Amino acid sequence: MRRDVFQAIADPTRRKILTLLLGQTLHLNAVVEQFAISRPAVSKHIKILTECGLVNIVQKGRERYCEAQPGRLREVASWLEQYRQHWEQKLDSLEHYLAQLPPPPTDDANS
Amino acid sequence: MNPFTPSPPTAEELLITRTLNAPRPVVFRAFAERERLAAWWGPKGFPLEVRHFDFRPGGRFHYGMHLPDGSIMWGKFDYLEIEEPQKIGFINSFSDEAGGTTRAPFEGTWPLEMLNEFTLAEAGDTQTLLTLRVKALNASPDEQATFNEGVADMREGFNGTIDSLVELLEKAASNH
Repeated sequence: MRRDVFQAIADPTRRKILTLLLGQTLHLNAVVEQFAISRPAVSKHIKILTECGLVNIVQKGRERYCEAQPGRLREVASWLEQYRQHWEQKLDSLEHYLAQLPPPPTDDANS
Repeated sequence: MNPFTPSPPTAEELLITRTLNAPRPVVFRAFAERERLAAWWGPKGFPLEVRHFDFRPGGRFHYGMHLPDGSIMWGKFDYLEIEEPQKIGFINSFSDEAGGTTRAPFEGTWPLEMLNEFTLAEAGDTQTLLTLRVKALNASPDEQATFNEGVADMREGFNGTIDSLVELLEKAASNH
């Protein structure tokens, strides 16, 4: 089952890992060092990120490096723009609906 | 690394505000009453099918939008908190004819559920300031959705740094 990417990026540690990897490839050890939590715990977070395609592990000989996958992250951001447009259209429609409602009754004593 | 424009200081992902030319109770009714909601929610020129409408915390609005190609796109609102006349919170998701929670029926990466919070503020006697905040929820796909007033506490919203991550990314890419 492909892991839910929104679930993956909801975690603050995983967001920090992604931030570390932006614009640079880091040795796995270098990523682990950034956190106070245990190595297995960091590895688990990285595994979750690789499972949804946000991070790639690149093997060079015995060394393992982590790199972020920018395309995937952009995909994740794009729903927001589409949803915004969807709501903007709906709110336009709400405005039109409100505009065609009959005006409230005026107070006859003032006319 | 170049400096970047920080995301807005709130945790929400999306913020839309509108000033509407109607008093607040009228705007609230446009969300609260079935016929009124159906009048503006559907796509233009196509009838909106309302399968279920129960405007209360824990209730649901289940709708089908007829698309030009003849298909129907189902969606729903699962209402969380409702405070007349100033607040309406619900989870919007794609759905199917039976009213279940489904993934987006089209290409692209979409969250399973989107938390929507409307607040309505009076702007004089004749206008309403409508604010919409949206965040993606990280509920796992096979979680059963049982909606009651407490459910909003059970789900962690995403503290939106997607925008800032993408900006950082694009700045970093342009340096190479």
